[in-house]
Amino acid sequence: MKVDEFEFPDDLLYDENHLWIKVDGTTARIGLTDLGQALYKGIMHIDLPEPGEEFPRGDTIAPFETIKSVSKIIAPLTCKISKVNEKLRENSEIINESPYGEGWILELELQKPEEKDSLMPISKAAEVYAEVIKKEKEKYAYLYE
Amino acid sequence: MALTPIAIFGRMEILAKKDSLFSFYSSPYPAHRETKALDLTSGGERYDDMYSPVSGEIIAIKKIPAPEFSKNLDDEYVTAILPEGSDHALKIIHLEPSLDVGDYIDAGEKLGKLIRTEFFWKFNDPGIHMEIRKRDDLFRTGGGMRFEPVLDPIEGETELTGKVTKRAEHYSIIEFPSSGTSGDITGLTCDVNGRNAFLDCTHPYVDYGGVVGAKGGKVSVNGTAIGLAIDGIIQYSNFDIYINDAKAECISSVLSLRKRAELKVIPAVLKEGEKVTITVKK
Repeated sequence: MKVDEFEFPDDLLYDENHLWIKVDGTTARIGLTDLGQALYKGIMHIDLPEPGEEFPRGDTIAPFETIKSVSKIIAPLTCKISKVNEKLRENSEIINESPYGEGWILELELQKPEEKDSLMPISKAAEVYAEVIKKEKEKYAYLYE
Repeated sequence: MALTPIAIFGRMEILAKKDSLFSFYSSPYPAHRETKALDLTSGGERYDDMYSPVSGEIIAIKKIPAPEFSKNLDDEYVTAILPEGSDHALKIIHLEPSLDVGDYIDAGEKLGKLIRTEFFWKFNDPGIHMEIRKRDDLFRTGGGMRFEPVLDPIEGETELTGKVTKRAEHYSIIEFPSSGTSGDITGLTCDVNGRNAFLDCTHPYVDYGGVVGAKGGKVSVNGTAIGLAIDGIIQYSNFDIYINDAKAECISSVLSLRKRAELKVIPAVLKEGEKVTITVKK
């Protein structure tokens, strides 16, 4: 599904922190959405956790940096890290270039799988993201004045 | 044109031309909050030429596409210049370089053109953002080195009575005829535990400010306390800035090589030629 200019695959779940989550039973893979990577252009560094580390939902799981700003990947679900995308250590810009493909960030073991009900299908996430996009466009509207 | 040193790191001197404005602390971005970033504007408009503030070899250029929220945003560039004999490079952003990797540039020569990217608020003028970085760690935000301002003792205080000399679309500029100075550098002065310093801030849009010329202590403007400086960074107490009798929505005070201290007032509510007095109230 497209929201404005941004792509959101229909078969994924989403959260308000601009993550996509592909749940498969009690495991999941996560990454930044197309909108998320647009909000953080030029990701130059990410501090990846180690496999085996555990995080409650809502905790900072992976701080990252662009050329001028800092932000973080927040655990969408209570989890244990099962795998990290090692390619990101050398080239974190892959997150911007291929957010749903090669730019995936982490694979998780879900410790409370029922939490996935708190995630949004794109039909619901689209409303949330449309508001974000609208606010971002308003920020730059002056450039057309 | 003569160049004035405005900051140093080791033997790396950051140089600025007359008519430039510069700031360590009037930005919300993380590196500024640790005195690890420095903004410099020549006063040029978008796509005007911008000079290099250091001499050295261009060792890297990276282009970052503009976000998709506006077709009128420029792509961003990171340019890194390595001064001779230095282990550290100067990272420069918000400029489209007109040179290539491997080229040598002298300070003061044209480096490229000023661009407008997603990092600018509408009241920001085009200018460059600089950081000092190890040559194998040029691009990220964290890990930069601290700038040391180059400042002689400040003589005189800036009297807060001035005139509006410019009204742009999103701000007005007030100039103060009687300004504190440090050599060619001027700015709004403040008192930091009895020591004269320059105030460097965008208040209240940016939630902290800075003092240049002093490190720590109680900060007062015109006798009114505005906060506590620790290592140059001001943690604000509650105060408001008044221009004549009207509370200002936002003001920006930076350091200047333009002979007179200036204050930017946002939005553009003041008229050119208007005489104003600035007061600080709790």
